[in-house]
Amino acid sequence: MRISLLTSAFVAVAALAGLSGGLGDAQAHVTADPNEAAADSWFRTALRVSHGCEGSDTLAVKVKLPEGVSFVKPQMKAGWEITVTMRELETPRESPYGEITEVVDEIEWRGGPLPDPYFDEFGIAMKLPDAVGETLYFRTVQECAEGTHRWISIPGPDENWGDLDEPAPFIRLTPGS
Amino acid sequence: MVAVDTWDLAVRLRRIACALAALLAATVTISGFSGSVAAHAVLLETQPENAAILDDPPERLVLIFNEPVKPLAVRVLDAGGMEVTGPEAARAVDSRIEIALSSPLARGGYIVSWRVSSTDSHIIGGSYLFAVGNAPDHWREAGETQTARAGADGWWSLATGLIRIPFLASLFIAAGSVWFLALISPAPRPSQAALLRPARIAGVTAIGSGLLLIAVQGGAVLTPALSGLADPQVWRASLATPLGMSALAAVAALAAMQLGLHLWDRRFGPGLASLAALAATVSLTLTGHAVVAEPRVLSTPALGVHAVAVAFWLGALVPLHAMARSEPLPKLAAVLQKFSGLAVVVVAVLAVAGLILAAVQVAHPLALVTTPYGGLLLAKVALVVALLAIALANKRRHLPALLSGNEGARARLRRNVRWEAAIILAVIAFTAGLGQTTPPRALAQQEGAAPNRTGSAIKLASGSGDYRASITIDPARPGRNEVTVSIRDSDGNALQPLSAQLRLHHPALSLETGQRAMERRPDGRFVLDGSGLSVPGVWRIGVEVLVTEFENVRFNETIEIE
Repeated sequence: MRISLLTSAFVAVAALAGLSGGLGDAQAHVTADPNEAAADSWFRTALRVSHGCEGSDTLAVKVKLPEGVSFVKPQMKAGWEITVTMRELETPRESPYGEITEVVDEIEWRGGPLPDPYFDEFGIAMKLPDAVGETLYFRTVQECAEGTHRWISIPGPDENWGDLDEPAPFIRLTPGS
Repeated sequence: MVAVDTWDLAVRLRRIACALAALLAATVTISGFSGSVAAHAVLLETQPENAAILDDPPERLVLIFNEPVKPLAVRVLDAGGMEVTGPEAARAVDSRIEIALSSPLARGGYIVSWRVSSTDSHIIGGSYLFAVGNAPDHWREAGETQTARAGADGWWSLATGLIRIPFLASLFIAAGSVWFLALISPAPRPSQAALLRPARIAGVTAIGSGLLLIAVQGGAVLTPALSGLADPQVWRASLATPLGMSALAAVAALAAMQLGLHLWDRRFGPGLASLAALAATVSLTLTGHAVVAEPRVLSTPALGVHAVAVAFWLGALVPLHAMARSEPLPKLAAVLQKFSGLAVVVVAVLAVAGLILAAVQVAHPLALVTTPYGGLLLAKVALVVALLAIALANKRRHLPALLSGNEGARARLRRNVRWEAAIILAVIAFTAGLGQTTPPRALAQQEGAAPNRTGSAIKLASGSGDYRASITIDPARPGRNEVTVSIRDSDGNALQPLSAQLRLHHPALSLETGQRAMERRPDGRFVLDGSGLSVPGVWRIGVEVLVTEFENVRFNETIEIE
């Protein structure tokens, strides 16, 4: 049976649309890179923002630090103003550098704008907790000129990170070297 | 045919006006009480318990109530909403419903959806969850889940209460008239013909309202649309309830009575009519609160005797009223004397039977003033006292006046008889209201067992992590519903989340509404008024609440819409 030119054109366009749709989704997530590190180590990562909100420019990135990380420092960024919010610990934590009574709770970068076609990375340095095998989630709110993306969903015991709509960037703790 | 003069017409119109006024008062009374229908049977316990996670599949499922109930629709569904056992697997054993499981249940979650009719014909329903092996994920987070619903018959219940009034009234009038004519006034047959007509009309009215009552009770059971009354299934469902059965028995007996009235001139006519009238009156004992109240050996006969006494009284008033106009004075006086003599006995019996019934239903004297049932009962008793006063006046004043040949006494007698009839009709209305209200006996059993009920709305408590949600779905019927969500932390403090989204999913039909934003109220509650719950069945509700900027909490619950 001969398939007409028109039909094949339709199929091709549909396939491309589907494909690009799928690819687009994966890239749109805000992720931490690198996302694996040794437990109890000094670590530097960056949150990669590769898309705006449905095409709108990103104006602010806010991240909530998970329990257990200490000595957090955000990376300086030209054109972006940094706000750090501290949190008092209920029970002070022991460290080689003395007692820790308060830790960084939230970091906000505000400024930009970061247009949709470009990507940027927001760096954080920290000391990771001594918890091998655990996964730390860095809940991030991406504010745009129009709209907000909340990358704050954490997968349940039987869920996959990739299945969630707006999963939080994560860092997996591995055994030290 | 005697010409109807204007004075006669005025009397008749006044009579009709009085009857309508009584009916209006009754409507107000009943609607006040059956608007918030409180079910009389109550679910006390389930086996397995709500939200239980079992290691091994259960052998059978049990629902334990406080009184015997009849299963109307009891089903077990799996977590996907597919039916595992249907209504045929449910059996009533004493005050329990037992669901037989033909094959062991597979691992997973299950929903037991139940709808039963208590012996006093009130319908209640609800559902509970349990799991074998692993609970579905959203149950694990959910913690305490109890879906509950009050008697889901709203308007139908009100209609049942209203139709009971003309049914009871016409049945009593017909039966009492027949007994009066057969026993007290065995006059030459021709003059009785005119007196028989009201009895015949009352009989036909009783049959008609009885059939209507069966239909409306079917509506209360299955809650179809109004057009659904044409469906034979609705009638069959009604006849499966005690109320429906009792009404059918009454209608059959009334038909026999009509036959007896038709054949009054024959020798067996009055006898047949009287016996049939007795059967019709006694059929009322097949249903109602008294039937379930212990000790039954006392309450059922008390109810039967009470009903016969009321019928005798009310039914006698109609021919008396007619006779007071046309019969020669000596004859009238003789009849009235005979009636008064019997009436003393009847009233005594009525009072004793009524006291027994009241004592059984109002377990505690204090309940007379603290409960709606008690209040209605007191009002009824007050009316009966007024009635007795008038009846006494009839006997003391009018009887001697008639005996002494005073024609003026006729009009006064007729007026008093009308007042008596009007008060008895009001008492019947209050009785119908009592039938729709929970007696204190049953209220006491409800304490601690009844889940949240507000009309037909569903109220749930859900938990997820550190947060608790209170979700209300009103009225929990197919079509337009208002869903309200309020969030608290684990200490019970109300929170002010930033936003909330609602998602609805019907697993059996694969219906799904997308995430819809809920409207935020100033007090921190979230409301969504919409038509998402469009069909009956088991629905999964997902509420996603942005409690803080960085925390999105998901609550998942399962409900049933009927």
